[in-house]
Amino acid sequence: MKNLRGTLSSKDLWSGLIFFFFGVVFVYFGRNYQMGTAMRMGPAYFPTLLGALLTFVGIILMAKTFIKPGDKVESMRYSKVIYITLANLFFAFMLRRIGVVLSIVLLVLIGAYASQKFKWSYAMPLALGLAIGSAIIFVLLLHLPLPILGQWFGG
Amino acid sequence: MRRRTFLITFSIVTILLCFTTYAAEQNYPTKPIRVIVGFGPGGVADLTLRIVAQKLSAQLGQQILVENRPSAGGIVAADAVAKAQPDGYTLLLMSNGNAVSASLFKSLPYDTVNDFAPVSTLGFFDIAMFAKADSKFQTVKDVISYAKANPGKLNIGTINVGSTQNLSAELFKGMAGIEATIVPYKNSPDVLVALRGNDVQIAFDMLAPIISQYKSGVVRIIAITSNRRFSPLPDIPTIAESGVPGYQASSWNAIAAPAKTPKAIIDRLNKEINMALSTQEVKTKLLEIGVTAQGGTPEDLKNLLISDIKKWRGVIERANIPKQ
Amino acid sequence: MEILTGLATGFQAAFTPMNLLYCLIGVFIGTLIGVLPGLGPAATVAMLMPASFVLPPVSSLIMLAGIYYGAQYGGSTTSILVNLPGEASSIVTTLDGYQMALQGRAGVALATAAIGSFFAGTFATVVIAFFAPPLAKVALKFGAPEYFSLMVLGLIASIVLARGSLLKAIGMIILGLLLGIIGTDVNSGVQRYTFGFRELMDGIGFVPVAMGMFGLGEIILNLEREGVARRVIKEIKNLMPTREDWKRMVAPILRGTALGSFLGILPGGGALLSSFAAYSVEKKMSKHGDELGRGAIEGVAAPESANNAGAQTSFIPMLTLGIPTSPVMALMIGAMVIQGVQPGPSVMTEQPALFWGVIVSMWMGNFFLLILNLPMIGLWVRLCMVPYHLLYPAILVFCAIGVFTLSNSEFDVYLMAIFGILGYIFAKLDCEPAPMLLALILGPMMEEHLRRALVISRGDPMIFLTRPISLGILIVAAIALVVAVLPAIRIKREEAFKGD
Repeated sequence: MKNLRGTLSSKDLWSGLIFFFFGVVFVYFGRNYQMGTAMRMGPAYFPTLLGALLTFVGIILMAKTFIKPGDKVESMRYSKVIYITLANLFFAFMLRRIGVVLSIVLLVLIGAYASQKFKWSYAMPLALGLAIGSAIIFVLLLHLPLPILGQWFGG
Repeated sequence: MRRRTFLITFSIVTILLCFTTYAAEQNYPTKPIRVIVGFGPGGVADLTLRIVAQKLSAQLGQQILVENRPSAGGIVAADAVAKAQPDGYTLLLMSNGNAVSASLFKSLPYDTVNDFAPVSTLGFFDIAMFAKADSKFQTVKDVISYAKANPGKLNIGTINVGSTQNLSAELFKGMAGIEATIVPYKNSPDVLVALRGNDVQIAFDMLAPIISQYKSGVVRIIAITSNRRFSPLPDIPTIAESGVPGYQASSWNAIAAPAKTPKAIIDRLNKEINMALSTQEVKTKLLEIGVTAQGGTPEDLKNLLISDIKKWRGVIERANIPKQ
Repeated sequence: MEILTGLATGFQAAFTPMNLLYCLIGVFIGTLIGVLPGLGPAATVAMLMPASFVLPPVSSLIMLAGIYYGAQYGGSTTSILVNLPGEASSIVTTLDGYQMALQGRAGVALATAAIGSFFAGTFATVVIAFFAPPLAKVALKFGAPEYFSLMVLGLIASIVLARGSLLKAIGMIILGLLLGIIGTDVNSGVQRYTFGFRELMDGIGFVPVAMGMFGLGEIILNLEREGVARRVIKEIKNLMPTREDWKRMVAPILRGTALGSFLGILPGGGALLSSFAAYSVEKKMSKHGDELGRGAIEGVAAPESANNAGAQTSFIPMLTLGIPTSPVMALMIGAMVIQGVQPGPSVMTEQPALFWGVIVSMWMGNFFLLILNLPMIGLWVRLCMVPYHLLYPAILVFCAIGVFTLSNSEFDVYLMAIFGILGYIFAKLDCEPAPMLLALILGPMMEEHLRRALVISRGDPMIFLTRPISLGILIVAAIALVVAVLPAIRIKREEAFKGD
C-alpha cells in the first residue's frame, strides 16, 4: 500500500503517462493519413512508428515505478502557472483590439500579480514604463507592424 | 565625398528613427497603409512589393508598412485582409499563390474572387526549367525524348507540393506526356544543391535566383514557362515554342483591397501604382530580380485571377494532388 | 600568393571610415535584436533592406552581415542571463551558461562567450579566405541520404545532452520528433496533425516552443520558489575569467571552432547542429565532462565557439556558389541583386573588392563584437541583481512581443503559453527540454531527407550505405551511440548491484 502511494506521486509515472498520452494521440490521428510501405513511405509512416515507440517508452517508465517508485513530484503551485499563462493569452487576444500599449499594461499587471511581493505601488509604474518603452522601441524605432491603438480605439 | 557620407549616414539614421508625422490631410491617405504579405521576408514577391512600396509611399506621401504573415498558401494573410476594414488602409499582396490555394484547399475562410476588390497587378515573373551546365539536356525536346526512352528515370526537382513551381512541373509532365518523378524540396537553395549534386537532372524554379547561376556558367536554362520570352534573356525559348504548344505558367503579384473598399480609393491606388510601375527606376530594379513590371486595370486583375484558378484546378486534379 | 593580394584588396575595401562605421552599426543593431528574444535577424534585415539600397554594395553587405552575426552573438547573452535562447543555436548555452549565472558567474560566462566567439570568428574567417572554393565542393556532395545520416548522428549526439534518466531523454527526443511532424508534409503536401488550425500548416515554430519551455517555464519555477529558496543569486563573484578559467576554456574553444567551421559549410542544418555537436563532444572528451550541465565553463566555451564559427563559414556556400543557407542570406542575396551584383561562382573573380571586403569585414565585425561586449558585461550582470519581481515582468513583455512579431500572429503567443505550462510540468518531472528542442528542429528535416532519399533511389534503402559520405557518418553515429549508451547501462547495473 505504501509502495502504491509512492508510485502515484512518482515523477517517472507521470512522465510515462504524458509520453503514453502523446504516443497514443499521434498513432490514433495518424490513421487519417496514408501509411505507405517502408520503401515508399506515406505521410503516416514516420509518425505512427514514432508514436508507437513513444507509447512503448511511456509504458516502460510507468511499469518501472511499480517496482521502484523513484523520486516524488514536489508540490505544484498552480496559481503561478495560471497567472503567467493567462497574462500571455490575454495579451495576444487583446493586442489587435486595444493596441500594444494597453495590452502590455495588462500583460505586466496580470503577470506581476503572480509574485508574492506584488504591490500596486511598483506594478503600475512598471507596467506603464514597459508599455511606453516598448511602444517607442518596437513600433517607432524598429517599425514593427504593431498597432499602438487597437481597433477599439480606431487605430 | 564627405558630404555624401554624411547624407547617407543621415538617411540611415532617419530611416531608423523615422517618425511619421500624422499630417491632418483631408484626402486619402491620411495615415500609413499596411500591406499584408503571405510570405516571409526575402522572397521574390516580398522584394517586388518592397521595391514598389518605396516609390509608392513617396508618391502618396504616406508610409507603407509591409507586414509579413507567412502561412501555407498565404491563407492567414488573405483572411486578415478579407476581414479588414474596407477603408484602403489594409491591402493584400495577392499572387498566383492565392489562385492555387483556391483550388488546393478543401475550404478557405474567404472567397478568393468575391471577398477582394482587385487594384492592379504589379509584375509577372517567369519560372525556368533548367539543368546543370554540363548536362546532356540542351532543349526541351532532349528532356522529353530521354524521359520517353527511359520511363521513370527522370527526376525533376521543385519546391514543395502545390507551389506554382511544383504545379508547373506537373503541368509539363502532363502536357508533354512523360513519366518522371517530381522530387519536392523545402526551398530553392535545396533544389539548386540537389541539381548540382546530380540528385535531380532538371529543375523548375523561379527564374530570378537562377540568373546569376546561369550567368556564371553553372546552370543551363533550358526554357522558360511563360508565353513570351524574358526580355533580358532573349535567347532562351519558351516551353510552348519548344514542342509543348499551349504550355504556359507564370507567376504574378498584385495588390488587392477588401471587397467593399470605396471605388474612389481603388482608382486612386490603381493610378498611383501604374504610375510607380512606369518609372524607369522601378522597372530596372524589378528586372534585376527577374520581375517584369506590369500594371493594369482592376478588371484585368480580376480576369487573371479567375482564369488562373481554373487552370490550376485542372492541373491539381490531373496530378492527383490531395486537397488539403 | 593570390589569397594575400585578395586579403590586401579586402582590407583596402573594408577599412574605410565609412565601412567601419556601417560594420559597427550592423553589429550594434544585431546585438540589440539578438538580446531582444524572438526578434530574429531575418525580420531586421528585411526592415533595413531599403536603407541598404542607398549604400554602395560593399557597405550594405558589410552592414547586413554585421547584423547577422551580431544577432547570433546577442542570443547567447539572454541564454546566460535569463535562460532564454532566442535562437536555435543558443539552446545549448542555457545548459551551463544559466547555471553559471545562478552561481554568480554570469560575467565569466559572458566573457567566455565573447572570447570564444571572437577566436572562432577569426579562425573561420581565415578558413573562408583560404579554403572557400574547395569547401564549397564538399557542401555539394551532401544530398538527401547524407543529410539523413547527419540528422541521425545529431539525434544520437543529443542523447548525450541529457543529464538525468536516459529513458526520459529518449522519450523527450521522440516527443520532439513527433511535434516537429505537425504541419504540411513536404513530400506529399498532406497536412498532418493540424486539427484545422491554419497557423499549424507551416509547423510548430521553434521560437515559441523555446520561449515557452525555457523562458516561461523558468519564470514559473522561480516564482514558485520565491519564498523558499533564492534561485537568482545576488552575489557576483568575479566578472572576468580567472587563470583557472582561462586554462579550462582553451581546449573547448579549439574543438568547438574546428567542429563549427566544418559543419557550418553544410547548407540546411549544419550550422545549427554545430553547437549541439560541440557540447556533446565536450561531455565525452573534456576532463571536466562530468561537470557539464552544472555550470562548467566548457559548456559555454565550446558551443559558443562552434556556433560562431558555423555562422561564419555558412557564408561559404553563399559567397562561392550563390546558394543562400538561411533566410537572412536569401535577403542579403536579394540586396546584392538589387544593387546589380550577381552573387554566384563568379563574384570572387569579377568583384574581388566585394568578396574580400566582406571577408575582412567579418573579422572586423567579430573584433567590434568583442570590444562592444566586454565593457557591457558589467552592465548585463547588474541586470541579474534587479529584484526578480521587477525583472520577470519585463522578460514576459519581451517574450510576448518577440514571439508575436515572428509572423505577426497571436497564435504563436498562444503556443508559447501552452509550452510554458508544458515546460513547467516537464521541469517538475525531471524531463529535460533541450533534447526535445533539438529533435523538434531535426525531426522534420530527418523525415524529409529520408523519404526524399528513398524517392531518389526508387525505394532502395541501400542508398544510405552505398554513398560513401553517408556510410561514413552512419559509422560515426553507431560509435557515438555505443559511447553514449554504454556508461548509462554500466551505471544502471552498478546501481542495481548496490540495490541488492
